[in-house]
Amino acid sequence: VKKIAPYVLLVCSSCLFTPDESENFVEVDDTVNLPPMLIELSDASDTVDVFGPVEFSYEMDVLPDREYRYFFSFEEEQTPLEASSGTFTFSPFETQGYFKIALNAVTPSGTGSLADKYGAELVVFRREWVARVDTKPPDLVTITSISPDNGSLRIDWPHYSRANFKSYTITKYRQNEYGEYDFANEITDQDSNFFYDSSFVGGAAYYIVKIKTLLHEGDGEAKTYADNNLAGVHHAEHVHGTTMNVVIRKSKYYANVSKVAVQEVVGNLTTPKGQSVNALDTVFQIESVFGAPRELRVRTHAKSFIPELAETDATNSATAPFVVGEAIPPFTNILFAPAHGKYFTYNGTTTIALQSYSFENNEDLGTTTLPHGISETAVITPDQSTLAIIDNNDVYLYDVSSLSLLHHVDVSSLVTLPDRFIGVGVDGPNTLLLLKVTDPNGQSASLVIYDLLTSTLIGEYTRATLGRKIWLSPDKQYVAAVGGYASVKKFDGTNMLSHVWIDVSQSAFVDFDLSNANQMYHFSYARVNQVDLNTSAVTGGFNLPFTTLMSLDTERHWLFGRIGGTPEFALVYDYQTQTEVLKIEAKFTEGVNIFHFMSGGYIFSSQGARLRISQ
Amino acid sequence: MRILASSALIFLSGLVSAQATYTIGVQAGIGSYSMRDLREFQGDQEFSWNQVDVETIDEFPSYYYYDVWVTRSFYKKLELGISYRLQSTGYKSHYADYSGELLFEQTLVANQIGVLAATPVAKILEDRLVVSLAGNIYYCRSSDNFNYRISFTNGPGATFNETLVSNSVVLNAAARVSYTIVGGIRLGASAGYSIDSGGTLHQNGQTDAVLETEPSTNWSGMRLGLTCEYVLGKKQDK
Repeated sequence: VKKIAPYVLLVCSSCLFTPDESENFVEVDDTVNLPPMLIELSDASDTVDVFGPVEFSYEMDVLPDREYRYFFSFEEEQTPLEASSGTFTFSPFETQGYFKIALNAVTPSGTGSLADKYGAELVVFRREWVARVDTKPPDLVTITSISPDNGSLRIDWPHYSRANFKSYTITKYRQNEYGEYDFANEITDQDSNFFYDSSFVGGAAYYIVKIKTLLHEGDGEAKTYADNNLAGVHHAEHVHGTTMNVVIRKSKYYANVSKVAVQEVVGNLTTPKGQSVNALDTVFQIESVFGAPRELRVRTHAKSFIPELAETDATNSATAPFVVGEAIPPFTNILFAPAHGKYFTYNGTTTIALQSYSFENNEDLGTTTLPHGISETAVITPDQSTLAIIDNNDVYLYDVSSLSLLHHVDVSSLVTLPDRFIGVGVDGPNTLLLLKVTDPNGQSASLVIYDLLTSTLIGEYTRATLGRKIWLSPDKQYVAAVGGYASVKKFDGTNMLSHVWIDVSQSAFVDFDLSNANQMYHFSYARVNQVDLNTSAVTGGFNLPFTTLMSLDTERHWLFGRIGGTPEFALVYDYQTQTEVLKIEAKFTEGVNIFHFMSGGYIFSSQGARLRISQ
Repeated sequence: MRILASSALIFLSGLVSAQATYTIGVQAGIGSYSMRDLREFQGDQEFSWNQVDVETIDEFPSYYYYDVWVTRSFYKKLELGISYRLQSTGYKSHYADYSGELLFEQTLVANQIGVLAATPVAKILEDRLVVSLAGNIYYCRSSDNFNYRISFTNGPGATFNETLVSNSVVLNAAARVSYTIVGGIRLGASAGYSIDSGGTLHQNGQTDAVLETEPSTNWSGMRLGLTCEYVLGKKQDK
């Protein structure tokens, strides 16, 4: 039984019921006869810009009495629509790129086939568009430059090229982006990736540029930070005494300025170097120097505190003039200051210029250039009326007020090489005085007097004294020369008397007393002596407090000079009343000349600074 | 299994020791099956498909069945034994056009095992031709393999395939005629009728997992078959 049973079961199993293999195939006409459908999407050309949530209105021209299913598709993602027309809001999940979008209407084929009856045979009406999607936040932008431009400050940043642009916004802050701000400008022109800040008047400012896109109007804008003055000399001001406060403004951008090196452009001033700057504005006290505006350069090593930026070494060179008193920026290399606001300057090579400036209006009034160099010397007469210039074999005399050429004298016929003229002066409107070097060793000179009216030589008198600046006493009995050797010699109109002379070699100035033909004053650094020219005897005088006597004012009241020592002083002294007018602690720079007192109550340095004397 | 095998061995040993006559019989026939619930169930399915002209190809038709039994005769008046029956039928409906195909198939198989009692009512031709009446009580285990498929030419379709089972009791009564041709071999014919108590189809092992309309199998129907028996033992019980 055991052997047979499996075979019996196998046979029986193979004889189990199996369904008939015949099939029921029905012929069905598969023709679909539906007209094309008009599908419209509002404001849609072939390419649709999607820079944020977009509300579309749509319309599909469907047939009545048919059932449809409607949906909007974004690539493979489908969103059902409720009706054949209406509106819907589209917010793409993709953030950037070109994607296929479509409106779809689906209806059964109506053939009556199995697939039709079971909804698996559909007719799809579809219209596609290309969606240009850009919903990404704007890229980080960086201000590329901040630079002065025609009186304004120009701020530039990279052009934003993406199509989702809405605007640039530039905001100027006083401290940082959380503080007060001066303005916020919105620029909707995508190509205008710059801004002129005409309100900038100096100092530090802090700008942030944001790019707004059509989606990102609130938080999340790209920002950039800029500080037009990373670190540098903000301003300098004189503190009465020998120190000057130089304010180093720390950058808002690079907050952690670790080192500041202050370097002076001119001179050998001791400067602080490598000092830490931890306060917003740090004041360095630097010894003040009288006479010349000075420039400081500040170099900083800074670390950024802006997270988006790496730690950065920032080197900034900023300059600021500073001087005891007030700088007069337009002028340097002043030769003479014949009037308040008028300065003869010389560039050292070819031209002399008369520059004019209005201190009342802080306005440059222009420059007139004389086409002359200075081979030996140029002088201005004590009454400030005439400018005399020696330029090789030519002597020029100019009227200071009109700057008209009074005389041009070719002196080549008056001198034979190797002799040369080194000093010049005038005595009245028609008499030219010249000092000619006659000794090859430069030890002796002769005085040449020339009549300008007749262009004839009046006379040449030996045993004169070498000097750059010469003049005659009012009675024509004495001739003074300073600027080389200095002496006053008796001159009788015919001969230079060698036995009558007054040694003024230690004097800076000689001043003939116009009210008394026989009296003369000559000034050394330590004393002023009154001399009787008839007897050459000292008839009076008094001591002066100067270490270096520098100038005598045009009105013959005041002397100006330096008192050396520690501390060092600048002194204005009324030698007629023998009283100090102004005494201030000040450092002097070697080689800087100090010129005339002016009627306006200022003293000017040749390097372009003025100090008001009367406080 | 060892216990069942041991019990059967003891039973057979007892029979042998009693010097009894044993009969081993097989039968193959054709039966009709009621399956009323499943027809209704299928009708419901077709009703849901009436969007297309589904054609019923097979609807639980009459189909072959097979019996095998072993009996012992007692005093030539009574035969008692055990019997096994295998029977099957099924269903198929179908639709197809250019767009796809719809198919529903069921294949039902019943395995019945039970006890058999038979008694001769007439013996003629020197006992070579015997007319007897037989009765069976079966435990019936039915399995119904559902196979549903809808497919489309240009797209995905769907398939469903699951086998459900049911349990029932079947009573079978039959009249037999057999003729001894040589030795202990007898050939004959049988005609009878089965009455099935019906068993609700459910997932195997989960009687609560039934179809929504709770259709039952029902194997009730006529049975007509041909028999072949082999009689063991020459010394019959007097």
